Amino acid sequence: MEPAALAGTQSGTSHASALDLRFMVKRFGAVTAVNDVNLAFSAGEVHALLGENGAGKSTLMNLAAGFLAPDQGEIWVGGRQVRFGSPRDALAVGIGMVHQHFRLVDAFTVAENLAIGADDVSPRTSSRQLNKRADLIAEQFGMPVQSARLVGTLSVGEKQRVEILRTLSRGTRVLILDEPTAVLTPEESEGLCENLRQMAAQGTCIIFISHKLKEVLSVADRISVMRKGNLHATVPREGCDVVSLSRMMFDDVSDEFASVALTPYDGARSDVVVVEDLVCSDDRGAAALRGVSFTVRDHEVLGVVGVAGNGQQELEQVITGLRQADSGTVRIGGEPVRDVRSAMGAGLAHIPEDRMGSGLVGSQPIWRNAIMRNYRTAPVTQGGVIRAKVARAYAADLADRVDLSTRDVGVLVQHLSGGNAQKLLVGREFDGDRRAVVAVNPTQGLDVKAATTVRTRLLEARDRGLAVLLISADLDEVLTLSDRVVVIYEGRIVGEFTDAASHRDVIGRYMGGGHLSAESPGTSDSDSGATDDSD
Amino acid sequence: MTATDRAATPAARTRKGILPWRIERRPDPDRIGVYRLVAVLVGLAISLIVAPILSGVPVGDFYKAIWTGTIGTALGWSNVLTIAIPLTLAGLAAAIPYRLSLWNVGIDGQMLMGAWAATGVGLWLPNAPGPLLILVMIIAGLIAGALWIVIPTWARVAFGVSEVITTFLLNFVAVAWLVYWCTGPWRAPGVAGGIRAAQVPEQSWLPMLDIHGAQVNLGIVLVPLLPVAFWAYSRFTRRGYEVTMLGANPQAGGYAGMRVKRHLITAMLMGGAIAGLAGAINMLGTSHELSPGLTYNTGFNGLVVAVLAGANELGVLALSAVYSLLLAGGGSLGIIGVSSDLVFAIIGVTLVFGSLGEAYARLRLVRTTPRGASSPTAPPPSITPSLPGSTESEGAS
Repeated sequence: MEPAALAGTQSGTSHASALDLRFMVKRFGAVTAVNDVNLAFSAGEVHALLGENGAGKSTLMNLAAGFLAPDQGEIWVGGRQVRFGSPRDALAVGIGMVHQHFRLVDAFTVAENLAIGADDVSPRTSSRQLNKRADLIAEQFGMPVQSARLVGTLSVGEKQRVEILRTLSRGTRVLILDEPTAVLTPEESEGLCENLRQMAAQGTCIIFISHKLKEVLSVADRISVMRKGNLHATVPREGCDVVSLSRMMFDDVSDEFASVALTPYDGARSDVVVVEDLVCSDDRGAAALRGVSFTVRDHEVLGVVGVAGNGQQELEQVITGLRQADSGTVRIGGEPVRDVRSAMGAGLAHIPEDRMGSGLVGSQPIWRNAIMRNYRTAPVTQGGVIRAKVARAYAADLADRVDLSTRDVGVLVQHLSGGNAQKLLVGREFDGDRRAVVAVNPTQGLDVKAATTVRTRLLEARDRGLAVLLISADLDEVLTLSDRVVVIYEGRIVGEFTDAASHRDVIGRYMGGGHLSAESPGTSDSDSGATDDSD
Repeated sequence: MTATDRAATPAARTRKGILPWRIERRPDPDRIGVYRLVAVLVGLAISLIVAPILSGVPVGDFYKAIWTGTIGTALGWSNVLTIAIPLTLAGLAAAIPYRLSLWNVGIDGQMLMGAWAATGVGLWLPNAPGPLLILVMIIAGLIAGALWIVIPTWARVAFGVSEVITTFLLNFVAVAWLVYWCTGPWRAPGVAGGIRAAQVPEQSWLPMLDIHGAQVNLGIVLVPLLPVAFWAYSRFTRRGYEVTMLGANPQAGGYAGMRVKRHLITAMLMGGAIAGLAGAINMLGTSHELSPGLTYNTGFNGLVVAVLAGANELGVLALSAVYSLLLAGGGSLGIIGVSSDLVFAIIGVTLVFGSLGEAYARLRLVRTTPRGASSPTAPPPSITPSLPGSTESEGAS
């Protein structure tokens, strides 16, 4: 247990904390998402919960707000222990959570949305009274809204304001915001932070989940950092900067990488994946990639690190042909990537982040999933007919080679463990004539043993001569597996490192946008491996 | 760690209570179809026990009417088989798009348009030889049905407009269109009562078959043929494989380079064409004339069949048989003074039971005592969908 966290609990005994989480544990199958966390929040503070994807911060707050039930642990509110059966129970004691996706009715007005589920409103309340009520709420919390507008016509930032107001109007004293700025423009984010500070000044406890360092530094009174389900530290904002926070987020290399190591390759390398000047928008039309160029050579792992949401997803999608770039080109072995099929035809393997969401079909058996790459051609398909016998034999052989827990290829993939599902996916993607691979967070959610298997497979592929592009939020993983590392920040490559493992501090700083700060790289000898891209 | 270790899947939503049990969502249910089919049959059995009591006629008469109206007599058999033809085709017209989670709610309209086009051909070529005329009329029906779903398909694929609304509303347009033709250019000469067009040439009427005394038109051959053909296509061909994978996980389809839009378009047009076929066959085989009431809500019954069959083509065949019996039995209940609407109530009850069966398959009871280390390696994903808004799947997937 961290000393800082303990201090938080103790201060809760002198005057009752607004929210006090004790010994919280939550497991999802083999993965412990929240591991024995103690954390207390006081009224009137803005408390940032910082951590990488999968660190457990959202899970912890879903426990606190009644969306999930803890496996172990106690929740104390205002000096009384409480148990939540549902989010409603949490709201009843003043704990409300606003998720990234809003639960508003687009076809209703702002005022009507604010009235849903409220006690002081009846079906006979006139729309004029509803609007007046909404204006009062907006005034009380200092967040102006247009009561009579339809929610469907509002911008994302305005919708978020309505959602926050709706939560606050239930008498919420602890307001939890899950990555509230992820969907906002920079201006909207600033406005929100301003509002949060005001609310805290009025005595509300604000818990702000984020992985954006600068934002956290600008808004929080105290900062708690989570790493892999554990509370790493709770610190006051004073004395923190991007460097110290990123160090807390991505600490030292653990020994889970002991058994995987990069073997030096001395042969000549040539370019396999060539990415030139990619510009691309995200689903909301905002700029996601702002001119990205790099190459991956054979027998090489290029690691792309960055805090989630800096363009990694769009980069993956453009390279694999799932998304069209606004400009720029991707070539694999000289062949341009136009769509998924041309990328596959050029010999690109793809290990997507969300293996069950896109790489596999859970409700279908192993054999149908095993042929997803080669079902179009003989011997699996002949004359437009899938030859089930051939497909099953192929799948059984694959299962044998990747050492699946079952050799029964009729088993549905959703019944495989995460590690076995990933073995199947990786095995399928690497089977055949491949030149390159794009792997995104390939070990996320896997236990150590399964993760090691997947990492070993990636390095084997590199040693066979494949060009490996590893996009991962797990800094340790990237540093261990990569020949070279590039840092992506706000859609640009902001730094490239060889011998990256000895530059982890610098890389951490670059990930947080630290390359922009006055502190110039090169002040310490650890920066010698860095070469800045000028863009 | 066995592959079927269900106990290891996570709790999605929990309710704490006094009992040492709680209801959990089952994140990855299988055998939903079995649960649903059993539930439908249970619903049917309960309905058939309760309905006669509510009907106000002697219970014996009730069952006797159903018996003679269905499988008890040759006439009953004729009825059942004749109803099964359009119902099975309508079930397919709904099931094929539904495999890709597309709702064809416009089957009645597409049937009417199919019948309309067939009638047009028949009235235009009154002296053509029978077999040729039938062939051309059926092709016209297929094309007209497909055309009637083109706009909803385009709106869906190009702009994401929900096909539920567009296909549904086009039903009313089709009725209005038929009323115009039946009261105007094609009005039946000198006949009073009902809006209907002139009869199509007699040589285009579908030949009647005699199956052990039951009279049914030639269209009956399609009833086993088409569902089996479509089932085999889905199950054994490359494109069928793509539809199966896409239907189960559209994301994975895109990931594997499948042409998602092309499949959506094909499925919709195919659904429309089969509905058009159903309309043409129905007109050629039974009424021999066009009228706006030609379909008797067959389209909606077909949708019920497709949903309860989970879009499985053989399930469509089986459930169409069950509902054809029900509908034929309902028809004969009218003779003894029971409202034939009772049948629609029974169909509704079975639909509710089917949905309950599906819900039941997705839930399970578990002990609330901690499971501890008994579940070492379970797939951690699947929890995120039930959490509103947690796109960042902490610790999961």
